[in-house]
Order: sequence, then C-alpha cells, then structure tokens
Amino acid sequence: MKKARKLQHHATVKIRVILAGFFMTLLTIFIIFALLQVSLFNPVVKLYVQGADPETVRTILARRGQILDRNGNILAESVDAHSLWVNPRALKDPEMFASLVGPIIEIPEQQIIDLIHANSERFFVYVRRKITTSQMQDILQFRRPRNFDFGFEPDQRREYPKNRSAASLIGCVGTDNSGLSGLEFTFNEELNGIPGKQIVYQTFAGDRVPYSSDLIQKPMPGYSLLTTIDYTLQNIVEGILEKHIHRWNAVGGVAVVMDPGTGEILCMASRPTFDLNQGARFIENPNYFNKAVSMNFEPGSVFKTIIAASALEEGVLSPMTMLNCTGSVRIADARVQCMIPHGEQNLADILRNSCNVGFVEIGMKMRERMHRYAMRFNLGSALPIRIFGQERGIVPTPEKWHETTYATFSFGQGLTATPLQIITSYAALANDGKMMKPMIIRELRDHLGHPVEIFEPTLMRSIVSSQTAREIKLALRNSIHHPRGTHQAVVEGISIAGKTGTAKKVVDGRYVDDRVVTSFVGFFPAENPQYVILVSLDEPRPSHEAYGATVAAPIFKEIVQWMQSHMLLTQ
Amino acid sequence: MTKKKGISIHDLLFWLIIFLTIFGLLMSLSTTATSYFTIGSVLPFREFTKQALFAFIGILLMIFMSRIPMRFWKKMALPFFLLSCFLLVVVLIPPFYVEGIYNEAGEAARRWLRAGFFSFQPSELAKLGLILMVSYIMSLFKGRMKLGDFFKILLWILVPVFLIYVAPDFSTAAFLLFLGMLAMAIGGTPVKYFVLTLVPVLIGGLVVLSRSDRLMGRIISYQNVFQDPANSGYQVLQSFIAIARGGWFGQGLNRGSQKFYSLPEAQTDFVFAVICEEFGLLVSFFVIFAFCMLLFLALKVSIKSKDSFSSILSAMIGFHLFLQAMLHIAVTLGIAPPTGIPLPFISIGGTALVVYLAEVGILLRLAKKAEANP
Repeated sequence: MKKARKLQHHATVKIRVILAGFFMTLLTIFIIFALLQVSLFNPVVKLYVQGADPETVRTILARRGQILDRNGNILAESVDAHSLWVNPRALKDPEMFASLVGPIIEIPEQQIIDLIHANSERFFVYVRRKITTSQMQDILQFRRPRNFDFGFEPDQRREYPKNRSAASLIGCVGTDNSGLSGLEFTFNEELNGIPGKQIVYQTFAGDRVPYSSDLIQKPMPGYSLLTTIDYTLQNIVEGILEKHIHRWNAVGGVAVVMDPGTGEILCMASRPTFDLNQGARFIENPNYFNKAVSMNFEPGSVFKTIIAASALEEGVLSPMTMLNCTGSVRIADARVQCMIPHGEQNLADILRNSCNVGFVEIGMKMRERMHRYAMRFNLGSALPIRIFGQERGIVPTPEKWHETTYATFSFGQGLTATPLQIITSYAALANDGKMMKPMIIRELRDHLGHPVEIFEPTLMRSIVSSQTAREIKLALRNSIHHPRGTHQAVVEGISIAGKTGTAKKVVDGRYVDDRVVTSFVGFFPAENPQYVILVSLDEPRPSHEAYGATVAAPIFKEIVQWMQSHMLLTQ
Repeated sequence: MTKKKGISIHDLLFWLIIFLTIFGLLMSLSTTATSYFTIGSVLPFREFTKQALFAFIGILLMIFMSRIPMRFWKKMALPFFLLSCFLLVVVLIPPFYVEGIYNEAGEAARRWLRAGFFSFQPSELAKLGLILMVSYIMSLFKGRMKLGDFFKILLWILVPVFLIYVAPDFSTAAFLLFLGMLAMAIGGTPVKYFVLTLVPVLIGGLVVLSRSDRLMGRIISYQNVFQDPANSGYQVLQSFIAIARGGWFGQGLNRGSQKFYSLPEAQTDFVFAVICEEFGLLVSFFVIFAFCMLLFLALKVSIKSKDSFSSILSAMIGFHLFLQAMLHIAVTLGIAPPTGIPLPFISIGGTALVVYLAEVGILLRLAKKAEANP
C-alpha cells in the first residue's frame, strides 16, 4: 500500500516534470522569436545600428617640433593635452557634472550646463579642448563605474615659455595645431611631422572604442627649428626697446641684430608685442605684425649710405671729393633745403650732416644708376628668407621718374623698404660689399635632436667692391666719432660706424610733420664689423624733438653697451 | 541487460557544463578587459584571473559533489537550508556586507557577504538550499498533502524570500519564490491549492510593487525603450543595438564595441548581448540550445530516477539554471525589466559560478544513479 502510494506519487512527479518541460519549450520558442525580432526585424533598432559607423580611419597627431634659439633655449614646444568631451544624451545630471568639472577646467558652471543643454540631442560634444594631464586626472576621479558619460581625446598644446618675446617672429598655432603666423606658419610642414593612421571602432554613439590594435601608419614627429636668435640678447634688446618706446610714447619699434659675415639674425624685436600663449586673437591685428619685415617705411637718411656707396662704386664720388652746400638747391620747379648751409664737405661730412643738398648733387650725377643699385641692394623685392609677413618695399622704376625724383630718391624719399632690407644692405657694406642671405634658421633637427638639415651661410651677391666697402665704413665711422658727430651712439672703447635717419610719414599722399620714423643703423667694430644693429621707433613724440640721433641712437648705444660686456667681441 | 551504446547522460552533461564554463571564461576575458578603459582599472586581467580561479575550484567541487551519495543530501537538506538562511541574516548586519552595491531601484542593497579575502552572495547559496529543502519535503508527502501542509511549506519558502526581499533585492526574491513554488508544483501539490493561493499572491505582489515607486517605474518604463532612450530605456536600447550589430555572424571575439561605454554591466547583467554582438545569432542560438540541452538532460535524469526526491531535485536543478538563463536573455531582449540576473556559467561572478557547478555536481550524481541499472 505504502509502496503503491509512493509509486503513484512518483508518477505524478514525472507527469508534472514533463508538463513543466513543455511550458519551458514554449518559453524557449518565445525567446528565440524575440531574439530574431530584436536582431533582424526591429525597424527602430535597425535605424540606430545603421547610424553607427563601426570603423573609421583616424589620424594620430604627430608631436610638433620645438622652436629653439641658437643655444637650444625653448621658444615654443608642444606638450600632451587632452580634450574633454561629454555625451549629453547620457549625462543625467549636467548640473552635478558642471559643478564638479567647471572649477577644474576654469569654465563657468552655467556655460557648461548651457553647452550640454544646447547639444542635448548629440552624443558627443567637446567641453574644453587641450587641458593638462593633471587637470584630466582631477576630472577622472569623478568617473564612477556607472557614469561613463565623458572622456578624453589625446591632443597637443603649444606652449611658449618666453611668452611675449619675439612673439610676431615665432607666431602661433590654431586649435588644429597647425601654424597660423610667424615661423609656426612658414615652417608648418617641417614642424608638423607626418600624422599616423589608425583604424578605430566606434560605438553607435560615436564613442571611439579605445583599443588601438590596427595601427596602419606610425606618426612621425615633426622637426625642431634651431633658429639663429640669441634669446638672451633678444630679451635684453626687447627690454631696452620697450623702455625707449615708453619714454618716447611711440606707437611701436623695431630692433634687429645681424651678423654681417653670415647673415644670421641674432635678434629681431618688434613692438608692440603680445603673449603667444594667448596669441590667436592678436595675429590678425596689423599692429602686432613683425615690424622688422612688415613695416614698409620710407628709409630717409639711412638710405643715403646706400647712395654714397653706389656713387663710390661708380666713381662719381671719392672719399676726398668736396661738395659745397649753400643751404638750398633748385631742381626743376622744386627746392631742396638743408637746415643750415653746410659749406664744403667731404664724404664723411655729408653723411654726418646728412646733407640733402650734397646728396642731390650726387643723385643728379648718378641718375638712373641709383635705381640699379637699389635693385642690387635687394630693395623693392622680397629677401630670400622664409619669414612670415615680409613686405617687398616699393622702388619706382626710372620710367616713372620726374626730374625731381632724382633729387628726392638720393636722400631716401619716394621709395619704401623694410627694416630687414635696410639692415641687410648695411650688413653687405660691413661685409666687404658681399651681401649674405639673411638667416633665421640654422638647423632642422629630428625629434631625437639629430640634425636633419644644416643651413650654411650663403652669399647672395657682391654688391660693391671691398675698396668701396672699406671707404664707406671709414666714412661712417668718422661721421659718428667726429666731434660734432652722433655722440649719442658712441660707446667707450668701441669704434662704431652708423647712420641716423628721420623720415616723415606719408598720410594721404602728403608728408606730415608730426609723425616720423626715427632710425639708426650701425655696425661695430667699424674696421672689422661683427654685428649690425638697426633700431627704428615708429612715431616717437614729441615729434619736434625726435630725430634718429636723439631717439634711435641711444637705444643702439644701450644695446652695444650690453653686448660689449656680455658678448664676445674681437677688436 | 546490455548497456546502451553512445555517450551517457552523465558524460554529456559533464562536457556540456565544461564547455559552458570555458565559453564563459572567454566572454569574461572579452568583457572585463575593458575595465582598463571604462573604470580606469590598472589590472585589466584581474577579474578574468579571479573568474578562472573560481572556475577551476568550481569544477573540482563539481567532481567532488558527483561522488557524494544522495542520502547525505537527504540528511543535509534541512541543515543546509538553515545555514543559507542564517547567512542571509548575517548579510543584513552592517559589518558583514559589502557597501556600495545598488539594487534595480537604485537603493543600497545588502547582497554581498564579506568573507576574508573574497566576498560572496548568500542568495546564490539560498537558491540551492531552497531547492534541496523543498525537494526533500515534497518527496516525504507521497501524494497526501493537506492545506495546512501546503501553507507550512510555503512558510518555509517565504523565510529566505523575505530575507532577500528586505536586503532589498526584489528580482532575486521573486525568482526564489517562483523556484520554490515550482518545486512544490512538481512535487505533486494539488492544483487547487495553487488556485487558492494565486489570488492573494498576486495581490501581495501588487502591494509590494506599489510600495516602491521607483521599482514600479522601472517595470513600466522598460517597455518604453524608444520613448526614453537616454534614461530609463538606455540600458535596454544599448543591449538591442549590441544584439542587432552582431547580425548572424557577429563582429568577432573582442570586437564588440557596446561593452565599452554604452552597455553598462556588460560582464554580468548584459553578457548575452555581448555574445550576440561578438559571435552573432548562430552562436547565440547555440548558447540557448546549450541551456535547453541542460534542461533536457536534467529532465531525462528526473524521469529515469527511481525515487521522488531524485526526480524533483534533478528537475529543479535543471529548471533553476535554465530559467535563470532565460530570464537573463529576456532582460537583454527587453522582455523582462533589467534586474541584474547573471547568465549561469558565463556572467562574471566567482561564488555564483562555484555554486552552479556544485549544483551540477549533484545533478551528475543523480544522473549516474539513474543510469546505473535501467
């Protein structure tokens, strides 16, 4: 009886088991149909999946090269940065996110919240580009296992440790890390390197799947530029220039130091300047251009040296030729005047006196040849140097000249030139008449610091004979060291050759008295020049006190004084 | 009698489970290596190593269990059940549970027991304890059950269910209750008793649901996947996308991308979606087939068994693992609310894996016994 019951119970169990198994079969069939539906037939899911681009080729940034001064001081370098993005669709609490992240990335909380709300339908939006690694680490602490709503894209940030120094020369880069101005622009290709390529996989939301198994091409880091700039000198010169601009209330200024033997530019200071680390908003403003190459000014008296050298070369003039200045001379229907009659003068005297009448006399003898020499001194055409924003200057051709043009051209009016063109011309005279190609880059180096390309000093052309060059050097030296010479430029213990210049600016086709460009170009030691220095101040005030000798020469002197005690000078 | 040719149920079951475990390890490698990116873990293989270690221990335990005679379990059913209930009580006491675990309604849940260098979920043990207990009790009745007995057994079942419910862990509590009642049903409880209790249980269930607004909202809104893809429907939508991206043949092992940022808890609650994305429909069907096979073999053992206890127990072990798998798949398909049910043998979770393997060990013993003299 008991056993029978037991068997009966066991039979019931078996029937129930089979019955349950039957229900499980139904459940399985249901599950399989649901799986097929989701996987293959659900139109909305299909739409989401088609929107996803699972594979894309992504470029990997190559490390941009550095910009260095001649001694290896870093002027510009790229550091690792990270761009913070967020998925607005999945971010459930933007206010919380903003309050946590805002203070770290220095963006007002409300701005972040607005950004997220404005992009609430998107899956990916940058919150802030190019933040530092430590900022990233601070933010990463907020990432909890269930909150995968933000991430970081690798990026680079350009840093300029010298901030305002040589800013317009160096230039800056855009958010895409390519150069916008200065050396950053002209040498962009060399600096940039070759980006790598990688296949990345994306989630449907556009999030990059962060494993990088499929590297197609490794990135090739960019080359570094070893410039000819001497940062120490640059820094000092900029300080001096700044001081004098302030003293003269000038709108700007330029100072360039060049090695005449090699054409290397040791210093290129331009004012006003800006902090490169926030450079992008300054580079389109003409005030902040590199005045050494962009200031297209009428050279005025500093051009007289070039005319004098041409005349010596042509035999129109010798150092001993005496010219008589009566105070004024009439050419066609125009009158050229000197402030006082200078009387009988030799070459050194007319340069010292900057005697217009004397130069008119030379000019009337030189005629069209003046233009030929201007061309040989590379005026009116761009110098073969890769530098950003270079102006060519304007030198009218003799066909367009009037009779008066022969006169005005001889003392540097009616043509324009850039400071770099002027200093290169003086450098040629200082270098025995041989014009060296101006150099701003000495070397390209790869990312390991090995030189890839070394730029040697190159001769552009011989302009005048060494005899002429010697005579002009002597004349310029004598004009400075003469008892009534430009004593403002004289530094004890160094023989200096140089020329002042004061040119009125042209506004609406007329010369205006109260806006002048005052310049001084000089080299030293006069007998065996090692350095040429050009200094120009734009619109120093009060203009009636502003002359090359009073404004620019003292700046030159301060620079030379510093160089005398800090740089190697061979007497 | 001559022995049947071909592979025995025992061996088939054994290799099926070995296969599932190894496949699970493969998936855990695929889903947890992402932790380096998603949570910034510095040891991307830590989870996998842990899982592999537990799998090894679990398989050893399974083999060991398959050698323990059934009379041991008959004796141990009640003590084992009481032990698992005791652990469920312990896990509620502050110093013993792991903090920072949240249930499906977003409330702090007391699920994990701290045990020295590792932690484990007593609720996993409670499932086995309950199955053993109810199977044993039901086998005692031999066809005569009064209504009072029915309620007594139901009360026994409700002890662990209640303890898990207050943890709070609603889905596991509900699953446990269902398992217990299924065991009762298989054990021969008269159908009329069920009809008698079904109405109050349904009412009780509704009361429980309405008690938690967030839970209610969860259950209502999971169907509105496409209405609210950014919030309540987010997980399920991500799961859908993973499944659809897989197509028939999948993206390839470790080529899935949903597991990275989009699909939360890819290594546990949504591992089936990752299988779909990386291996495609064909392999997914095979995984479903494997669990059907497990159930089929378990039911075969159940029918071949000579006594009620073995029949109920083997069927219940099969039902437990099969149903849990189906529930997990149903969650990834948006049929059931996302409640955090792991896929047996495949989802990450060391202690759970060990318990499942031990459970299969008992089933293996039953299989051997059932096949011994047909």
